[in-house]
Amino acid sequence: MSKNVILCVDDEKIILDSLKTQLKEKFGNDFSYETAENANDAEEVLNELTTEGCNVLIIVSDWLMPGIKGDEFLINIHKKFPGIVKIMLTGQAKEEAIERAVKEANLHKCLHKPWTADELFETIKSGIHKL
Amino acid sequence: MVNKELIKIIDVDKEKCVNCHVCINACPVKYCNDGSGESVTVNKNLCIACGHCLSACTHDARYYFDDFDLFMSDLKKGEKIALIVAPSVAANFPGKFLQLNGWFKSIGVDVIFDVSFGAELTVPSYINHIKKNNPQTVIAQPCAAIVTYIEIFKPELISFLAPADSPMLHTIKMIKTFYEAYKNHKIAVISPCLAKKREFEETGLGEYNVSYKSIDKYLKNNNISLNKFDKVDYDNPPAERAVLFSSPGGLLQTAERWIPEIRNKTRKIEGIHTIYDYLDNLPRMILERKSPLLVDCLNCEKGCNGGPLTLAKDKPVDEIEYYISKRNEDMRQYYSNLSSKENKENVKLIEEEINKYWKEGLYDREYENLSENFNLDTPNPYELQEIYRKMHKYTEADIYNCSSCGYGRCDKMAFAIFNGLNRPENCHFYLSSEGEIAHRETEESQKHLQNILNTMIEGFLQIDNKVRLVDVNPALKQLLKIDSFEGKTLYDFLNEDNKKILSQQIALRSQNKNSTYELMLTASDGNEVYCIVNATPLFDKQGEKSGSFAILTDITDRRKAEIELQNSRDELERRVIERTQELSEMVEELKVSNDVIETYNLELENLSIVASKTYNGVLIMDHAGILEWYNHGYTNMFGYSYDEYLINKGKSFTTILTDHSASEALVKCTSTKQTLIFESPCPTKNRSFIWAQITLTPILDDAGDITKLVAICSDISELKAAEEEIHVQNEEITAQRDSIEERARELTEALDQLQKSQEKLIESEKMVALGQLISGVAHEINTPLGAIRSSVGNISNTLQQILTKLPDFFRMITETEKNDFFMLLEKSIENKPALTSKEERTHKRKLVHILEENNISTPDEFADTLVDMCIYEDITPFFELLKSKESIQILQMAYKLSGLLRSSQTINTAADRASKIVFALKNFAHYDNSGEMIKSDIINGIETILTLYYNQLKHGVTVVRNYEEIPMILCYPDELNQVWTNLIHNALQAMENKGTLTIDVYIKNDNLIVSFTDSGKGIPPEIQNKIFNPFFTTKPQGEGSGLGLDIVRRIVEKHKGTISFNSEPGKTTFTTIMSVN
Repeated sequence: MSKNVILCVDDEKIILDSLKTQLKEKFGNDFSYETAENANDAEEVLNELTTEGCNVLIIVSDWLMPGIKGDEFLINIHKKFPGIVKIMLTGQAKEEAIERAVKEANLHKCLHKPWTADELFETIKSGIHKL
Repeated sequence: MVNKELIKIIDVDKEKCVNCHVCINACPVKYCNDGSGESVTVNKNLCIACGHCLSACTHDARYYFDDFDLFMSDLKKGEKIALIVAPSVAANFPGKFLQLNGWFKSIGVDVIFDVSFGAELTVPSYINHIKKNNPQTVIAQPCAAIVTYIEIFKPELISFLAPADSPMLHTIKMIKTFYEAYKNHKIAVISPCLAKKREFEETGLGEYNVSYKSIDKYLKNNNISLNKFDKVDYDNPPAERAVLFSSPGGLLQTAERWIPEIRNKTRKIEGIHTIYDYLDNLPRMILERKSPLLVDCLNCEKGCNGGPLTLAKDKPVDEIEYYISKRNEDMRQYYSNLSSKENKENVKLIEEEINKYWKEGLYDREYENLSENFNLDTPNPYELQEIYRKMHKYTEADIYNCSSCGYGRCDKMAFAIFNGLNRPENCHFYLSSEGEIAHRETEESQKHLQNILNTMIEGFLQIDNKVRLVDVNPALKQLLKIDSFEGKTLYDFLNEDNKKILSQQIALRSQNKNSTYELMLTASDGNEVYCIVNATPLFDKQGEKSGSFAILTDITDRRKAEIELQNSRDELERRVIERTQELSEMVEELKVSNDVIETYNLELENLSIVASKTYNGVLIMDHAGILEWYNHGYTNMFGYSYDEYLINKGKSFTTILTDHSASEALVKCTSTKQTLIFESPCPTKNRSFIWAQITLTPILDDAGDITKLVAICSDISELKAAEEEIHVQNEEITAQRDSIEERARELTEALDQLQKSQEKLIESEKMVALGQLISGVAHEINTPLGAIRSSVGNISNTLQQILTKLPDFFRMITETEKNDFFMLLEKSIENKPALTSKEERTHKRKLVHILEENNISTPDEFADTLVDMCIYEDITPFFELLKSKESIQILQMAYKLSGLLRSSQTINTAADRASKIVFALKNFAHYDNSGEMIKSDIINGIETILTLYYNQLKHGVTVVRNYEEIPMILCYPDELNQVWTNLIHNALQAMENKGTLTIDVYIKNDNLIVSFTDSGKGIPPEIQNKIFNPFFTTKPQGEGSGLGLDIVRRIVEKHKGTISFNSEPGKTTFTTIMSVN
């Protein structure tokens, strides 16, 4: 049976841990949850999951990360997986980077740290609704 | 048919041609002229040689080729030449044409014939054609220009040209046929005509075309008077009235001698203005059978007498015709004298003469079709519109047909342009449109310029040589707070110092050079206005300096930024101290909340023991709830002995339990006939209450009626008490969470305000650096805040959920499971190093594998949960638990309980991170106003800056710290911090945040040496001597003022130190040396 996956990408482990707990608490077994600490790892995970027949529905990504920045990462992903809903979650991002992601990666929404549970859940739900 | 090369008869002297195109206007053919260049050129293959352009050109630019010079030189060489003379000679050399013959004979001409006699021969040729062929129309062809015109432009009329030679050719053929002595003589034709050359060319007869004009010129140049020569008559038989042939209608008059009625069937027409239109319409007239029998036509208006090379051209027509008529009378008199009979006899005599020389077929003429020479293209309607557009003609109204171009009609001009024979610039309408457009553009550009001056933010002024204001734009008026500048000089707005600056600049500017300098002006309200002046000198037409104009940029704000900067720094410091205080308090409170959670974990353990010791009480009642039976567990629960309680037998269930929930439960249970669980406070023997959970189950008979009711009671007093306590704690935590969120919000607000302050100060270099720091700090603070907020939410959610489930949970699981459960919890919360996501995934895969091997269901979910709980290995002890029926609930409960701890740890880590950054920010922003040096730890200062740059350093910059142990140094620590900030910032920019930053700190010879080495691309040699200059910057405008290194140098010098650098690609080092003392 193919699993529906939410993939979280952030270079801060504390963010990944709390985010995963938060999502798991809310959505339980509706999804499985994967995390990655940079863009390269994320692409690796994405390829693995696709090979295993999993269905990655949503990516939540930070902007300021080592190596490839969030906008570029999401644009790369968008080229290979246009169907995935892309959400940015960031403490600091340049306006033009967000605009670029909206244009070139069809960014669903950009959330700012510190985020509230409600806005995160609403964003995920509206993202799923879009699928 | 092929394009035939014709000889050149008329050409243009390029030097003399002014390109006025009057020649095109004069030309009946138009398209033999190319007017597209700087001077007109002639296409000889279309030129009919009418010669009309020669007299039209008033610039003497048109010239012709005749053969006079060749004729004279051949004659001198002894060439045998026979002369034939056109009848127009009588009008050109009035009274002297026979003496002209005398002169010719005197210079060696053998024989002279009169073309008038050839004309006499021409008439029978025509009459023969008419009688023999009965043509509808005959076009006379003595005029060679008309013949060439038809051959090139009207080939459809060729068949109507009289198929007979011209009088000239009749004469030549007569000589060659009937005058044996002269038949090999070369023939020179004395004529008024240029077009005769075309006849020579086509028939091969005739060698020299000798014009009256050339003869006259020669005679005059050589002072030869014809009066001195004898009159010599022609060598042929005399003509009669054909001497009229050179006049318009001469042919007709001669023909009338033989066919008197022919005048009624003849069209006599001549002159370029009418004849070519006539010929253009003739084909249609022929088709409609409206054409005359004979068309007696000539190109020249006054006939051959007024030909292009005559001397009589400008004479009145009456004078010309007088001499021609006189000769006519003379000749008719001659024949009359011969016969001295009546007219008819005259005719007979001349007829006899003619018949001697006229022979059928001898004088037949054929024509060439030269229409291929006219190889121009006709534009289609679309192309024509396109050409009109180039001429700025868009509507019918623009088609003036004004003739200025020389073509007479716009479509003819368009045809010429289409074929590259002219250009729109020669169209009058085009030129006037262009003029209008240019005028409009000039007006618009003036308006545009005025608009710029009126709307530009910079000030603009123009002064004359005496520094009087000539023009001032609104921006400058506003800057100087003046309404009018009448009678004012620029000096009126300057103090003495600035007057000197201006005078010097004006003196310098007398060379033709722009100059830029700074000037302080005093506005009319007394305010000081600092400006960058960009001045340009103005020169009059003689090249004398007439004043100058200048653009003034207001930089007063920049000058004032320094003060504003100081104020903002103080404000920033105050805010940071305030926020640090708040954050420290928040961290304290978080620690307290963590203690509470740990206490709670302990109590959970106790609760489970309590749960394990609970015994159930059982009651059996009849269908109406009357007690029939009870057990020991029940009486123990309520503090009675078993016997003691017998008195309650036969009493109602509601009486025993007294609480209204019992009555409600009984009613509901008996009516719905379903098991019901409820909680109720129950009285005990010693009149206190216990909380009991009661399960009321109806027993039904086969008919579905209630026979008995069974109640099973559990004492849940302790659970209730614990629940109460947790509830209180939960409210506290929720309250704390709100307060943390409130703090977080405040912190975000503070950050917002900081960012706003940053925007206000962005103009200053120091503020740019600070601004970049604040963006970094935003990320550094927002990240832990995000983790805190989400973790606090997770804790509170978990608590709310498990509270209600805990009692059931513990009751549900067995003792063994309980032990395993606590072991699992313990394993989950024991200290382990943090793993990366990648490592976690590896562990998860291993766990999935192990679980699958041991046939445990849902291995994926279990493995994920275990890894989340930080349990990565040694899971064998839990196999039994994981295989049990309730495995999912047990694992979930363990995950959630241990999650409380994980969330707490996340909060701790995040809070540590936040307080560290705030602490560093506080150190950075601290500003010592005392102005005294204090002992300070230099390395600590550098580390503070590195902490603030952590987010820029962490991805890709390796920091190598070569610190020696150094004592505290007496210095201005805050200003040195600014030095380190600038040098670190520059180093990071130079390597674009990738590479190695090496920091050396050591003491040498009582000097403190601090150096920063980056692995960036280095400073280009050409700017190395400029980098310490104030306002020098390599950054784009707006990012920096170029003051950074200037300030660094000043601060180092304030410490009696020096700063130097050494740069090569890959290694740039800035070194500061300061005395330890």
